[in-house]
Amino acid sequence: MNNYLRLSGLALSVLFSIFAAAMLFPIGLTLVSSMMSEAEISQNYDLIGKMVDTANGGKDAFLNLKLLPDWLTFEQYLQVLILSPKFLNMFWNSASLVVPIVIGQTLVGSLAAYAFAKLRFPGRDKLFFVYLMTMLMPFQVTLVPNYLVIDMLGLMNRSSAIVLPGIFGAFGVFMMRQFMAHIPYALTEAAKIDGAGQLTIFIRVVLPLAKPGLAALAVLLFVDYWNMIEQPLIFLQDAVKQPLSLYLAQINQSARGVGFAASTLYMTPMVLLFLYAESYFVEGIQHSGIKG
Amino acid sequence: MEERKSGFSKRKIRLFAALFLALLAICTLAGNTLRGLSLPKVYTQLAAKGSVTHEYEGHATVQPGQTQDITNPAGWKVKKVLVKQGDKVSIRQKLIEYDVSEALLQLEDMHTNLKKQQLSMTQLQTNYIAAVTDGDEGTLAAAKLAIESAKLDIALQEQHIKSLQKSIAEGQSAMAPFAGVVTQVNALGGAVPGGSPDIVLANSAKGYEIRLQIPGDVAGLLKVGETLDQITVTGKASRQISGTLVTIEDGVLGGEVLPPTGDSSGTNESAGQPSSVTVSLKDDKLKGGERVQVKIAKTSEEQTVTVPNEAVHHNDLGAYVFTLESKEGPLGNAYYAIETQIKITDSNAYVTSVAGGLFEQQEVIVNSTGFLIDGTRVRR
Repeated sequence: MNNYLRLSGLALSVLFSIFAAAMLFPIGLTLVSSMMSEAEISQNYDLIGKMVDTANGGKDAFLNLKLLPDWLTFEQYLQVLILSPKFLNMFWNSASLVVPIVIGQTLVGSLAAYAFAKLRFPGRDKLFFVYLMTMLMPFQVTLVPNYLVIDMLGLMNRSSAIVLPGIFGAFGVFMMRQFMAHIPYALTEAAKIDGAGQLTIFIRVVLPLAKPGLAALAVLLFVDYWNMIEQPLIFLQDAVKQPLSLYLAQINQSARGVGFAASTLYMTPMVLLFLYAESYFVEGIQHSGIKG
Repeated sequence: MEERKSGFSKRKIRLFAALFLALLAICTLAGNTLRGLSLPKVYTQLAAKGSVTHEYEGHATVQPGQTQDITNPAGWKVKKVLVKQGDKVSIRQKLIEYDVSEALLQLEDMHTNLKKQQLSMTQLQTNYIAAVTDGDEGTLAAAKLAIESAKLDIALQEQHIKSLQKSIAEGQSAMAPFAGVVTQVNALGGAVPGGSPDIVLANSAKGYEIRLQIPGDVAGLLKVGETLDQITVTGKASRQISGTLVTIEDGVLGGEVLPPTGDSSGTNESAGQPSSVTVSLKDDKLKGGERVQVKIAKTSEEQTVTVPNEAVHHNDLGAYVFTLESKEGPLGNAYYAIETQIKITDSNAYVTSVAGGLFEQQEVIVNSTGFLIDGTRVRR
């Protein structure tokens, strides 16, 4: 019986290792390719798609996908970081959009979530349902009314056209409410008996306990808004104001090396944030009942 | 234990994140400086439609259109020179007086000889009368012959005297055959003239001229009969005069014309060989010998694309320029120096006219801070 358990454990480990490798493979390939020269990248990828069709000039050869560069070069990084200011410009654009959204929505979301989770007032659940409804609708559905409102507010082509709707998003409220619902009433009641007001209870009792939830929310929001495409594409017509997420879409076949380098730099903040908040994140996801 | 491990890795992550952000911040703030270190900066100019102006500037000395040497054929001594170089003279004006004393002496001798001959004639006539009286036939014939011979001698002597008198009358002074200017005076008072003419006189009616050696590229654009109006008489009273082009003689000697070298870079074939050009000047105040400054600026008629000479380079395939090509990439516009072969049709010291390979408004690299080859990435 023990042996059986150990064997199945081993099998699972192998299976998950394979899954993990499959997940990590594209990331690794991006990282390695970003250090290859453009010529080497062409050798690697130009064959793809032509392999089978030998009649039309395709080569009957094995796919030459190298996992180690022949010649290590940082030229692509030089191109991205030094020879052109565009990437950096877009990077700081992204940061200036995402950071206020993450901070704002975490703050607004946790306050609203406290009200929904810990206060009793008439129509609370119905109001929460309405919140949920807005979250359930995909962005494309609310695009036109969003556009009209932003146009009427005169925010078109300004970063606040993205930041303001981002701060008041429903997702933060929903997630934090789910998380705070798991905080026992006994704690808030005890604080109330000790004479604490709502703000004190929120800051002193609920917020420290909701830390993992806040971290998870921050990571999820960061990833979500770091990768947003539609909002900046529609609301920011000025190329100088557009964020990094629109940049990768512009990379063409002649600049694949640059694309790999840019992708590596692009995902670095997200990876770092995830690694930093990993333990909180897992805990936060578990307690809020949301699964990725 | 678990917490400590996690704390350590977090510190690493924080450090890495800080480094990453610092790198991006440095690249952003010092981007221009870093870019300047890695790419050569180029200075460009737009290829514009225009024409090439050929200019010539030179000096020449005014020379008379027609001159006449005035000499005394008898070779008499000069008594007095009445004019000096540069004098304006009118027709039939006396220029030199010659010393005729020797000729007069000779004339006197001749007169004496004549008288002697006339005296001997009287003697012969007496002889003749005696012969008639004697009735000797032979003596009579001899006397008659002697008289006839003496008559001929006297006639000859009289003719010589007349001729000498005439030449004394005419040759005691030299006159100007036409109105003009004295350009040269060789005669000296009291001296016997040497081999050179006593006076050289320029004909005012025929005007003045200058001869110029003009580079082939400019001469090729000139036409006989053309008026040149940028001729300045230098000196104290400088003034502008105009002239007419009379002759153009190509400086090319027979058989020395080089075959055109290749068609892609064929420059003006006659550009290096100067032509000799004569310009006639019409100006009343000219005396000959003045220095004039001549400016000729000729513009080729056809309009072509022109580029500065600094932009034109040469290799074994001919002439080329570096044009600036921008390639739109995900990182924005990147600029490259592209070698573009051109066909030169004409050039002067500053610009080159290009027939093929280049378009109007195309950006041509004139100068750069670094060495360029085809395809070098550059910054503007």
